[in-house]
Amino acid sequence: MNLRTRKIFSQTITYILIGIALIFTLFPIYWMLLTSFQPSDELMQSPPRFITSRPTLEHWRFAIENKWRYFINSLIISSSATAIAILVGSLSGYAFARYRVGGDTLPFWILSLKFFPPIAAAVPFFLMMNRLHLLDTHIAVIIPHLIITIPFAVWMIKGFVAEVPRELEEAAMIDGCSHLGVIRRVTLPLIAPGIVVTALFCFIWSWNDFLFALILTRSHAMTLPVAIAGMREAHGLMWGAVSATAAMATLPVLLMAIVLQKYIVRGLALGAVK
Amino acid sequence: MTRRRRGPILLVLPTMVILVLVVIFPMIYSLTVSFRFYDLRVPRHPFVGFENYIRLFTDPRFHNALRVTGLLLLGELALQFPIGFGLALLLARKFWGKKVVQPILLIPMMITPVVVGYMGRLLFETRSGPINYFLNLMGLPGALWHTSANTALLTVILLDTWQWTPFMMGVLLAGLVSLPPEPYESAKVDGASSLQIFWYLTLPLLKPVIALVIIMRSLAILQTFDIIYVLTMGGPGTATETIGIYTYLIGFRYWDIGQASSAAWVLAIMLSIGVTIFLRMMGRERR
Repeated sequence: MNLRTRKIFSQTITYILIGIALIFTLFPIYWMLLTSFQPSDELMQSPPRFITSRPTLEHWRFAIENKWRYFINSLIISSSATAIAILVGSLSGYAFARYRVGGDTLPFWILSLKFFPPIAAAVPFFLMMNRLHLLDTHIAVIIPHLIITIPFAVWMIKGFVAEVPRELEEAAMIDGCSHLGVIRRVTLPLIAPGIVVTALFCFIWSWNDFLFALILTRSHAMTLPVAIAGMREAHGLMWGAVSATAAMATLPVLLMAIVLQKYIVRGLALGAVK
Repeated sequence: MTRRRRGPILLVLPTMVILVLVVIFPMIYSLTVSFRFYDLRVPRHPFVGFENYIRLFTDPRFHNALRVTGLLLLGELALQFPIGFGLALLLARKFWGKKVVQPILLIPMMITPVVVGYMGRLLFETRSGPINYFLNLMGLPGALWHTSANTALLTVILLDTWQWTPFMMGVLLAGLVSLPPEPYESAKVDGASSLQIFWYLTLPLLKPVIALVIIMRSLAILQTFDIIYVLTMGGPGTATETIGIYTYLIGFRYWDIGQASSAAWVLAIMLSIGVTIFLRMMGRERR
């Protein structure tokens, strides 16, 4: 084999393998979407159908009419948990990056909370919310979600602030800006994209949580993932309706993932790699 | 103390107050509960010392949960690391359409785990699901997947592999891309084969990143809950009952909050060992 054919050969292998990876990645998502648009009598047929000739919106109508309030609950809980995390996380993220408050120990302790098992906190939170008569309220879920969102926000914002050269702030200070003015006019605009990225991630982590919402809500404040898990028992084989609801839960996350695509790896690796 | 020193501490204060209230306080509360007989249906919760922990460590079902969680850990890492690494090596090459392919391959890890569990119910459906259909098409017999005790854990592993291999791939790829080019150039000048380059250059240079992804995935796998809850609820029997599912069932099905708290604490201590290793590595990375 000469060099040229070898190159073509290796390119072909690359494309084949990438193609297989794409099929494996996309097929489950396609299958869920397909199920959500298939008329009920076409579902769970043997052999399965890989395309539908009679697309229907009946399952989506069912999902929107019956599960909309859980969508709204998820929205309220995730936005609140995100807003609080960004607010306190910007302050402490800045302080950790610029003044090294608490040395390495404090930020690292906060980072370690990213691996804190929700099941361990769920038990005491259940008892506390029960005693405070807060079970099945939005607050009952927002508070434990702060365990998920705050450590992430602090750590990410700390990383983004550290990327802003200190000299920029010092130059503005020499020009007569107050310290707070420097933060507002120089640092904040520079890290604004980073804050948006952090907020979107916080929203997704809170949106995707299942355990806290499962234990701390019953019906009134139930989130969409809990509603999806509950449909299994209540409706037996309503595959179309569950698919449409599941797709409805996936949609916001997918839209955000498109915005985040350059940052996904950095966000999931907690900034360990860029 | 001047104003300059007090300012930064004030900035950190709100975060610390909240974290103490949502992490430290509940965990101490949970520790005290773990030393009590705490059944929600009984009004009195007497102090019982280490009895919950003794009952936990002598419960065959907890031994099973440890075994299931261990198998899950090994099975997932054995699949996700090689596949993720392979894909990362592929994506480190230049090819047409890479800018589109790369973000698509990262999608699964952003999807709500409950939804992934539900996708599994659709795909692995034994009678008319697409996976058994394809197996039959290739002349292989279909399997019972999550509905049989023999294959339920494998089904969980496969589903989680779908969702989390992209994480391995993404982080390893970021590591590969940031490797210094100089050693590669000199290796090529010296006429090293690509296998030699991989073995003697890429692997050793990438070791810190490899250790990092493996520890991060392990910490997450040890907590697996959502997918299993939707797919099998720990069954059939106790075939997929991880520590997380076990703790949930003890606490919120049998209402034995005391023992659930002790199980939660055992899990938290197990994880803290892994977290310590992780923090060491993060610390070294930054120096």
